[in-house]
Amino acid sequence: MKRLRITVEGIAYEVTVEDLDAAPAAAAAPVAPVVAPRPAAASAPKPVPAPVVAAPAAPAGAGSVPSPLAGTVVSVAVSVGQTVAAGELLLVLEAMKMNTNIGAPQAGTVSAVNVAPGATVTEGQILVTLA
Amino acid sequence: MAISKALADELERRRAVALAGGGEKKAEARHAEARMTARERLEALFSPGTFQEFGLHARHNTRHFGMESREIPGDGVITGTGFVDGRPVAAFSQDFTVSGGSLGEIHAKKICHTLDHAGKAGVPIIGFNDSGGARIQEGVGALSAYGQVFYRNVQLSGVVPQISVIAGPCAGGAAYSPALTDFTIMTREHAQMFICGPEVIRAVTGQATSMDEIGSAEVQASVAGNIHFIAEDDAHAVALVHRLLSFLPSNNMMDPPHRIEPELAIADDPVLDDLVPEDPKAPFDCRKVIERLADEGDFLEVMAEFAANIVIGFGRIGGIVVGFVANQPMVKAGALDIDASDKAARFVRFCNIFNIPLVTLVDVPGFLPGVHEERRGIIRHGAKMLFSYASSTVPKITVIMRKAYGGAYIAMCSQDMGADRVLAWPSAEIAVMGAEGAVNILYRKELSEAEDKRAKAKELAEEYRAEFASPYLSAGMLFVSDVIQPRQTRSAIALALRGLMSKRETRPPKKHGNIPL
Repeated sequence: MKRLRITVEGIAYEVTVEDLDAAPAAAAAPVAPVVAPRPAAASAPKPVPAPVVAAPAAPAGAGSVPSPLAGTVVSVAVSVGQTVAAGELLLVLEAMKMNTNIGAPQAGTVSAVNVAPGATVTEGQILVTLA
Repeated sequence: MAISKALADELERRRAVALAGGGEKKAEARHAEARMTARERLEALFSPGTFQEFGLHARHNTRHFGMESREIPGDGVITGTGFVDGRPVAAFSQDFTVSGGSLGEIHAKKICHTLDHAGKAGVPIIGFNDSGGARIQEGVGALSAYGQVFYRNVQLSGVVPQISVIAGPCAGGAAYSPALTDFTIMTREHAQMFICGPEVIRAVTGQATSMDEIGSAEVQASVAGNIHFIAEDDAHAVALVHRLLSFLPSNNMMDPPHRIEPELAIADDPVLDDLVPEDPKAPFDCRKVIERLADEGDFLEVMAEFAANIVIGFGRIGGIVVGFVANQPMVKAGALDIDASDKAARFVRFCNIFNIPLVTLVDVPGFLPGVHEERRGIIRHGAKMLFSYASSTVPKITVIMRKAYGGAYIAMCSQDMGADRVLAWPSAEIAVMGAEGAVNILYRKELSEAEDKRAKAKELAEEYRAEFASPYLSAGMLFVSDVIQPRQTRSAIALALRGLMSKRETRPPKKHGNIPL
């Protein structure tokens, strides 16, 4: 049994994949009875990264900057290797008769610029990756 | 002649037990986490000395599982009335230090009594939610008790403002009471809100998740859109309640707390001229415009984290309380999508219920195109905007700042939706669709024959924009009341509002409209 997260049309699904040719897997644990919600989150599991709405092949990581909407790249303000502060302009998109400034979600170093001016991008497409 | 000492002492003894709640130890543990106890929350809410409690001596009626002999002071909830800024307000505060704040029949009866009182007295009701959930030992009785609370939340909806503070766990069915109220404030830490927790989700679906991913204030505010404000702590939550109340009437039959001066200052504000970028494609922050329009720049933004492509909130213009609805060109080009429509539509209806005039600031390129939007029902959600505006009878003033295209122009309270005054800036573009798109349809033949298609399209688009998107075209057809300089906006709105305070508009009698939900 293998657990995977796949993204279809921007919605992340978690799936469990079973290889039928492989050695029989241990029976799935019985479904626990539905209990009343616990009052506190003290022992809640550690947070996992929120599913990122993503279109490109590369899985989206914490440093990925996805496009908030479909549009055309007007200009790119950064290049690979450049360090950026949180909020610093990375690139400008044009969509819906309006320019949309894409800022850095956090400080970091630009490790990839996936688009060039004139490129059309889809919602969720990773534009820039920060390390 | 005096009351018997024994009787007086007995009262004091009973009071002391009830007031101690879960006891000093549990209260100290709360304080160590920088949290307030249930009683401290009410003390912070009400002006000192104004709290009048009811149900201090309530006793639970759990008769099973060894609960018969257990003391549950106040049955885990504190209820009563008091004053905020000189105005009466009702409130309840669940006490997690008493039996986990679990909801049993008497606990719910106290809440219901408070809600009933709020309805009869016509005063706002504030609820502090901090409860482990239903008291399992009371079984289906506890379940019915939730139903009793929900039923009253619904009866009071549209009668008195209802504000919920989530200051602890609020799980399962308990989450539906806040969901039925008008505004929900959640503390950033120590509060969770969810229907099915991570364990249940994992058990049923196999999905691994965490409380942070489904039930935190952050998620509820930004992704789910279930709450309206995040408070940094209990004191901040109370401060937000005070702030909200400062804009709200006590009930639907009263006017909100306007601060009208006899003299109205009519002055231009040149800063507004400078706020509008020359380039129609350059984004600008609509909140900056709101801050210039609102008295003293005082603007209480609601749901700031959710659907940021539209901005909603309260302020005053010339002393008159207004609800602002503004497209935000900095986010998603200001286009209307499902979440933005839901957010704005409910706010418009709230304002209408409580006699708060609406000021709509328009810079909208249209509804957001997308497979997702269409498949998730943007038609139904966008229709909520039309429904809310068209059914609102409060004064409605619309300012078209820049773009106002297609159906979104109508959805942003065009004159056809019953706007009492539509003002346009010289930068306004009002048209059935964008110039580029329109040109492709209108000049299909010319474009296919042109040598340089791109140059021809650009030329035609400029012509179209100048001629057919101009605010003077709309003003000429009387869809726009007047074209004004941005600097004149504040005084124009203030003056128009003054003239609309006596607005009366009736609708055909009916149970209620059928808003597309």
